[in-house]
Amino acid sequence: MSRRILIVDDDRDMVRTLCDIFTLRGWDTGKAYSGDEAIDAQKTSAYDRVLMDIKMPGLDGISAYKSLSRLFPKLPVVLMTAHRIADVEQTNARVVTKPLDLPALFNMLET
Amino acid sequence: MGVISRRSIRTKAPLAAVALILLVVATLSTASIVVLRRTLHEHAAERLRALTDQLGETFRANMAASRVRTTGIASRPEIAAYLGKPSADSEAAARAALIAVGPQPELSLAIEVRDVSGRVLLGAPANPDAATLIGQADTSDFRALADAAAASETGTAFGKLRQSGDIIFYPAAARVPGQVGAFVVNWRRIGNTAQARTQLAKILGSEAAFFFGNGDSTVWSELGQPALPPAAAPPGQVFEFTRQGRDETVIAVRGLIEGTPWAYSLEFPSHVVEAPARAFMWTMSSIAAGCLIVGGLAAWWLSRRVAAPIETLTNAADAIAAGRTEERVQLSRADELGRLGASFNAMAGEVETVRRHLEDAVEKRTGELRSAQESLARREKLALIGHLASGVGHEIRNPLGVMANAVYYLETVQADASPQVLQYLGILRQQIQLCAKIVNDLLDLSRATPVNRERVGVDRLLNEVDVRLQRTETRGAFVADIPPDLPAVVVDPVHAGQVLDNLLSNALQAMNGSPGTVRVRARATGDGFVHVEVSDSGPGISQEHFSKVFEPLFTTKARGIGLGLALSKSLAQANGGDLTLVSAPNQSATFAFILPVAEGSA
Repeated sequence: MSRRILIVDDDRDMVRTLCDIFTLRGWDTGKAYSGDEAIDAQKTSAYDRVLMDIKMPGLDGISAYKSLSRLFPKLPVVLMTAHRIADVEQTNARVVTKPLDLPALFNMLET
Repeated sequence: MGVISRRSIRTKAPLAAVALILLVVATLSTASIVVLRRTLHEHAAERLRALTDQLGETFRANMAASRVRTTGIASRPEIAAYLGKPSADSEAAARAALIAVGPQPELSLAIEVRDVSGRVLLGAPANPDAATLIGQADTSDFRALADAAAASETGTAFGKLRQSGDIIFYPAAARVPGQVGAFVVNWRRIGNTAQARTQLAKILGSEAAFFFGNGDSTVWSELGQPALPPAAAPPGQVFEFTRQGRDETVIAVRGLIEGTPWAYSLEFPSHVVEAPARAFMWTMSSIAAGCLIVGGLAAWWLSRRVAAPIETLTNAADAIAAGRTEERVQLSRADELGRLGASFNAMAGEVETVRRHLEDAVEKRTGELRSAQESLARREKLALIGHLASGVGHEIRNPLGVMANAVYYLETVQADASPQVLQYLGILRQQIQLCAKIVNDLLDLSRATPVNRERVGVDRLLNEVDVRLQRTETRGAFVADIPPDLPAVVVDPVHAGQVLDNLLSNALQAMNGSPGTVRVRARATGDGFVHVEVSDSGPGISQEHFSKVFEPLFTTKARGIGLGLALSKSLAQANGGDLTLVSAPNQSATFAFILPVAEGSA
């Protein structure tokens, strides 16, 4: 049974390209375009990993992460940002910057 | 006043001295002359009075002798006999008697017997002209003379002086005893004899002049020669007047001869009286001239001695006032002026020291201000750029991310595509990475993270940079020269790494792919800093660009936005150090990254 990853970003092209890339690497992917959608998707489908943008309309990535970590304390979540890491609010989630260093990201999610 | 005050002391002092000497000499001379003249005049007056007394005595004696002689003639019995009984015999006897007693030609013109009306009864002329001379003279006053003789106790009287040509004479009349109305008249010449002259000279000396004449100023003589009468004055009083015809002031005294109508005047010419005063004046003038020359020379020498050093000091003071504070005076003397010169030099030294300190302080302060101003301007510019960058950067990173993902996907699924497709995909990937780097650099600018300084070794900083460079740059290598005893520095390792990163990649790029070497040399400067100098072997920085290398947005590279050096300098300064360009224009560039030494390291 393949691993499942939820990709969350308000930029649909970003979601699509990432889904295609992870599919190529053998992942089952799910799509969400906001924090609320992500929580709903996780509640319904219980993904193994979540890769989520921080800056989104509606519920942002940080708030969504906080809710997810309450609901699913063991769920690994990686946050993406176009800002500098130093400017992002500190949480327990790991943060990567855009454009993504994909080999490093795979390393992070696949081990 | 202005003209005098502008003149040099060297001129004024001798002039003042000469003027003072002149004033003193003139005052003393005038006072002395006035006193001397008064004294001389008093002395002359005393002499005149003394001579008058002497002459008075002489005249009295002479007059007495004259009376006796005339009375003696008048007493001859032959005359009385002739007058009592005139006959040819008695006349001859009487005439013989007259001739027997005189007349002497040099003393007398004639001896006559006359009646009261002046008629000549008998005459004995001393020379053939006698009758003519006497006849020419005015004898109208003979009755007055006869009356005076008749009334006189001695029976004699002297008449006024008369003048005929150059000859001056007077009648001495004596009544003939026993013959009323008959008188012997002796017409005597005014003494022009050698004996008379000798006698007079003996009394008067050579300087005095003696005039003799009628009290009513009608006839006057000098040594038997006719002369102009003196000015009228009371007898015995010394007075001054200008003698006519001689244009000369004389000091005179007038005397009356008792029992005669005659007067005399004793006169000293002023030039004779004042001769000692003139001699004194000459002496004084010579002394004054001597004093003037000696005094003037002395004053000139003294003023030179005093004014020359003052002039030197004044010139030096002017020079210092004009800003030439290295000016000093050379006064080789130990007096007050010498001490003044020494004090002046000490003061000038102080002035120079203070001026140098001031200049240094101003220069240092100006440099600091300029540097602070540049630093502030750079930071402001960087802050503005950072503010913009953080806004724009975020928006660009998203599309870049999508593009990068897309390229990655294509490279993965099209791994067996034509080489040209793969090459183009590679170009896309590299360009996206370049864009991402530019955006990252821009975002770093707006980073206001606090500086986390820590103690770290320069070698460790370089090693980390080396690792990063080997991963990204492929165009060259660098040689590091780091002394083993180099002290540790205290900086934020991330910041310091960023600066070194920037310097080294710039240096590698500057060599344009040529096989040069980048050298990194670290050394402690001993003033609490370590200098890490990064040199390349490239063409260096042109004069035109030299002053702009640290300005934000300045670049000479085909690629790059010109933030690296500006950012590095800001970071270096934020860490208590600096970043400077130490090479000259157009020489291979060397940048010095200055880092503060950690406390306790040396």
